[in-house]
Amino acid sequence: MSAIALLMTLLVLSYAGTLLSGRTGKGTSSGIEFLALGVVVGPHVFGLVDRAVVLEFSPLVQAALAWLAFVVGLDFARVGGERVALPRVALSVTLSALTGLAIAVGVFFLLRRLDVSFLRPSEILLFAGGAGAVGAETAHTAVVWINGRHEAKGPLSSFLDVLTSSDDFVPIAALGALFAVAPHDHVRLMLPAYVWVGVTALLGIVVGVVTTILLNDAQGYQVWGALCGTILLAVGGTARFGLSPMFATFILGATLAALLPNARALRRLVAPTEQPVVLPLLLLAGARLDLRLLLETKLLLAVLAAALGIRVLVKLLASLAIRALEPVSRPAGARLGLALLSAGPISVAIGLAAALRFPGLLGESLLALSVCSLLLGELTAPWSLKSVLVKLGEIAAPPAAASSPSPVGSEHEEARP
Amino acid sequence: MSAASPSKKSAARWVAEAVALALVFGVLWAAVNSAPSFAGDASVLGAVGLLLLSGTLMSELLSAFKLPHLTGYIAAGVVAGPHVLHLIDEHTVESLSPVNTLALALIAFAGGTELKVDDLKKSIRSLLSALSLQTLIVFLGMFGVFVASRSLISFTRELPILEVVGIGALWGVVAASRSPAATLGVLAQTRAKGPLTSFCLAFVMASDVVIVVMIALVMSLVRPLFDAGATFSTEALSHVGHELLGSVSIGTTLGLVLALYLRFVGKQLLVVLVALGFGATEVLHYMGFEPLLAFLVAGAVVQNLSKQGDKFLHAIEQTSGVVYVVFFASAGAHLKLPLLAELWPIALLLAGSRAALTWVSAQLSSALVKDPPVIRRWAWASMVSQAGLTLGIVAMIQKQFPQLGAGLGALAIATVAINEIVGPILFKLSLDRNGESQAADEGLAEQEEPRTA
Repeated sequence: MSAIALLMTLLVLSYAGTLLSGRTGKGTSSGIEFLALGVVVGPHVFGLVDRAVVLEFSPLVQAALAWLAFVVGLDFARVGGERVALPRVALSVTLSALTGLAIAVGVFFLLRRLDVSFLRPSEILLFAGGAGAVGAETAHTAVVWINGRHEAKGPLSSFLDVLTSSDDFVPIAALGALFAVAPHDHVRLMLPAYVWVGVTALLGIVVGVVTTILLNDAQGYQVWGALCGTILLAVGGTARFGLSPMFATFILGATLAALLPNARALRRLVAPTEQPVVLPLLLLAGARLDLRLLLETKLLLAVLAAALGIRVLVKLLASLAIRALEPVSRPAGARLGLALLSAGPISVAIGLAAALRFPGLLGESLLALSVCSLLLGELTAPWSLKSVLVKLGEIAAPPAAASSPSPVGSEHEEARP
Repeated sequence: MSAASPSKKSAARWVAEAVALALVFGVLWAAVNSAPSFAGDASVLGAVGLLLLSGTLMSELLSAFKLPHLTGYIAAGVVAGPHVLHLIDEHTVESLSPVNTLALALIAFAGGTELKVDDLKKSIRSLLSALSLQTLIVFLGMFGVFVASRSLISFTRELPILEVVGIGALWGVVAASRSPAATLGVLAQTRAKGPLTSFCLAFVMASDVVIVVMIALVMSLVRPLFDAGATFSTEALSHVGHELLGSVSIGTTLGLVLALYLRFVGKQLLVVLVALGFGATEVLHYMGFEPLLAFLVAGAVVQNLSKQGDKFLHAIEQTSGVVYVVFFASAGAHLKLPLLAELWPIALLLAGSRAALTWVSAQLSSALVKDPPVIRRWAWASMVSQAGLTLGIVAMIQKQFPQLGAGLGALAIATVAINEIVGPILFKLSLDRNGESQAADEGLAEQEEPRTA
């Protein structure tokens, strides 16, 4: 398949995404079917798209990832357009950070213990950090999917909606830190990692200020021009240093949310663009996945499995903490931990960003880990969340099937007023 | 970015825009100087972002001088480009060609959609008169000027007179070409409506088709002047005929399909336009047809054979607004300033002669058909602009006549640069003076309903 044909396919997917936008509860909660489609059309199954063509789309992928992070940043700590209370945001961010940190530490020590040869010593820290970034979040899309599909109403579903809406900051910030640890070699400035993180955030704030000026009284297409321009500038500026465009554009979105008087209107304007961007991204992620590399490195498969296992354990522990801190979640029991395993487009976006930034086994491994997280989350989270909500009465239980005629006496009972 | 007219902007607003422009240039300047040897794909993305932002801001700032937005876009490109701040290098400028593909497709769609048969019928005599006289007088006049000034042009000084005559004929066709892009760019900004607007748009679009036929004819005629063994051949003309007929046929079909889509679905027009801009262009090139003509016809079909014209035009305007900024800003970055510095005297002579001949032709054609005063007085202003189409014709000539070397291309670039800067200014002036410029669209603050991309 040529680049033009792949572009047409992505545009068709984007079109499909606009039709699905806002229709919660359709398809799978994570969008994994589109990722699977990417694997199927990719070089390892039908071979309709070869790897070289997929790699040609790297600039488009970078721009799409940055746009996704921008939309997330613009909507950060909000549910249904309303601001989430600060204590809940703090809880969400703290839990997510601790989860990611625990995963990163666990994976780091595992790799050191296993003495893996497929990663250089300098890459072990990056892999561990990346695993933490991939595993930190609980996908908001899963909660929204369940709530939308089954019309869940109640304190736990609302609480989870709020909890998962604010934890996207952690994986994106972690990515920012990860990239800052290893800036490009050709960069003239030698700065510590935390300064590079600050530079990335500052760039996001500066372009956020510029966008605020541009959007003030912007007319028609100029709104899109301003948004596209600042996001592309942020991508170009950060990528030059090997820093994280996603972190910069997340900060850009958050800055706009804080500074722009018409932020609500902007959110309404950009929200429908999320699905049309996510679906082609998932397809490209699937097509990019290097199965051959993974299958050839057996130890890597073991490491990925172990990383997933660590994530499951950490999420179960996180659910214990949530149940201890939040009374509404206590009746949920141990299944809450499984519900927290959901992974979504942000996890895959983290993996894809890592694959772009660290070409080779490191990046491909992180992409594979994000895909595995997505798959595990899709297999466990929706049904466990649903069962929890049914148990608490927040989702109406399915009616029992009428398998036999009702007893004779009951007709008289039904006739009574 | 302001919906307010320049006179209604506060001083704080002007300062804010100037600061924003400085920040935009500053960010990329810092990035480029801190990591100068970076050559990845992200540099292209950064360049597009820079051109988009700086073009928009520069156009807002220059609107204080009543200059068209196009001038701001071009100026931003010049400043950011390889010859001033060096924020965008030559290679990156070349990498922006996909944007040009999309921009040209949108320009052609917009141009066709703006052509209303009812309006054309009213001014058909005027149009035909202008087309004939403009093409003939500018062609012959510029041929004469070029041959007369051959001693001033470096690459023609030593050439035999017959070859100079051949080059002069080719230059005549180049001079007769106009810029649909610049015309539509100014109209998109001013949202102009009126008899002058309709006339100028119809003229520039029709002129495009005339030039395509003319260049094929002239190239066939002059070939024997350069190559003693060559004879006049109608093969090129039949090829052009096939191209035109095929393009019109496919354009008609495309227009009907688009009209049906707009009628029964009518959603996600951005995605549809991008798909057509890239996908359909590729397919049409492969088939040996002219995409721009096909899209022009498609737009005209939607406008005149369905009721979806306004809807389609609105979608194109929403999409093309962003694309035009990058298109013209990258044209500015592409301007070879050292070449202009070297060739400006002769380029100025040729550009000035062309403008004068355009004015004279306009007066003659208007007098012949008794045009309304507004057409007689101002129509010529839309005919001065030149841009990518002209350079495309020159590139085609250079390909067909490699013995001409780079001299013709260099001279064309320098002359087009002058017309590209001066033309839009004149055209906007004519629209403003005639009162055909309209009010702006609603801003973000006024949007009640969400709009999808």
